[in-house]
Amino acid sequence: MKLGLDQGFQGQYPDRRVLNNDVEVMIRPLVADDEDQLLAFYRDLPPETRLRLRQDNSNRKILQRFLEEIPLGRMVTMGGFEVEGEKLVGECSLRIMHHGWARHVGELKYSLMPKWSPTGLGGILIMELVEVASSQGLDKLVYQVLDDQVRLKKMLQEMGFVQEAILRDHATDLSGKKHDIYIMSNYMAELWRKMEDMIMYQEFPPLP
Amino acid sequence: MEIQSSSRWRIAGFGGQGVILSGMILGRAVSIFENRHATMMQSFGPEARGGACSAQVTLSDEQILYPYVKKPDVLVAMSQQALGLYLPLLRPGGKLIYEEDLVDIGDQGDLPEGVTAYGVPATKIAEKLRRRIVLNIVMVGFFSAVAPVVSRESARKAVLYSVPKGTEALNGRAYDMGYKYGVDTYGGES
Repeated sequence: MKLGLDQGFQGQYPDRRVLNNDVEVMIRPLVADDEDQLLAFYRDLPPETRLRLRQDNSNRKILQRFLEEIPLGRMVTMGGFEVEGEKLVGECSLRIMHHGWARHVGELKYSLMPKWSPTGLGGILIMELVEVASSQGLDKLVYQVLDDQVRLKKMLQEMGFVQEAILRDHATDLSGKKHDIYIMSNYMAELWRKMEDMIMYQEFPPLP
Repeated sequence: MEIQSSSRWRIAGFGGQGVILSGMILGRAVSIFENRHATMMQSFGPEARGGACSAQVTLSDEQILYPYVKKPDVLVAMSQQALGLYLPLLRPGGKLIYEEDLVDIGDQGDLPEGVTAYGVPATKIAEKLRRRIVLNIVMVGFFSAVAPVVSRESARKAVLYSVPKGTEALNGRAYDMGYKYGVDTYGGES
């Protein structure tokens, strides 16, 4: 299994994408040098969003631990930036185990400035990492969604994720409130096999 | 480029390239998303994967009474064998659209009279997206730019409607990249 982004991926960033509102954003993988940008991003998130962060990255020490994972290849983080001023407005991370029985599984999570939420940026960042996951040989992606993250759950379902399990009262948000966690998963190989099957079925239908 | 009111197409290549799906998407774009008319006939070689495969698609503002395409206005060739078989049938003044890494059209002067050729490195573009299987969707994007029989919006909608759930984003990008290549290389509306 490869560690981190391969050369082919490195070469395609920074890249620009047009969002649903016709605004252009720049996307690129984040590195340890982006610590200040990330810290400012997490600290700018509104309290209701920060409450639901899996870990409080607005704390520099916690963020540094998160960033240490990147050069080790255990984390790939894609950032979305405003084109003018290059301010970070969203990030999506893929955690990869590399060993143990879940070495074929990657875990995604993302955070976005609320203003950018309806623009499709979240979906773009996730799809970038789905492609990275595919190039890393991962077969399955999971996303842990809190019970009140309804829009996020819907977006993941639109991308082919299905609800696989519910863990009751499994998360405590930063305010101390307990939440159920929905484990959403997506089998990437299965997804693309469907496309191949569809093409083969159309071009060589079974004999009557 | 102006959208044509009627057009007869032959899309041909190997089985497994998504030839039939390309034809289906084109027909869906015209019939479902533009409320016009489309028919499709398909044929296969006797082999399993890798054999010859082709779709005959007729698109029109009027009702279509005969679905077979004897002399197409547009030939999409995704294999050398397809070019050899169907190029002689292409109507004078017709369009030849081909995958330039899979098909060698030789000297432009050898093409039938009045035929214009449009090549696209669809496999390479699909490989940039790390999914060779989207080759056919790149082709759909490309041919909707250089041989517009349907609006870009309808063609794109038909792509997203036709592909398996969960693969829409990457197929959408494949369509956009094929379309952009067509516009950048041969002109047209972007």
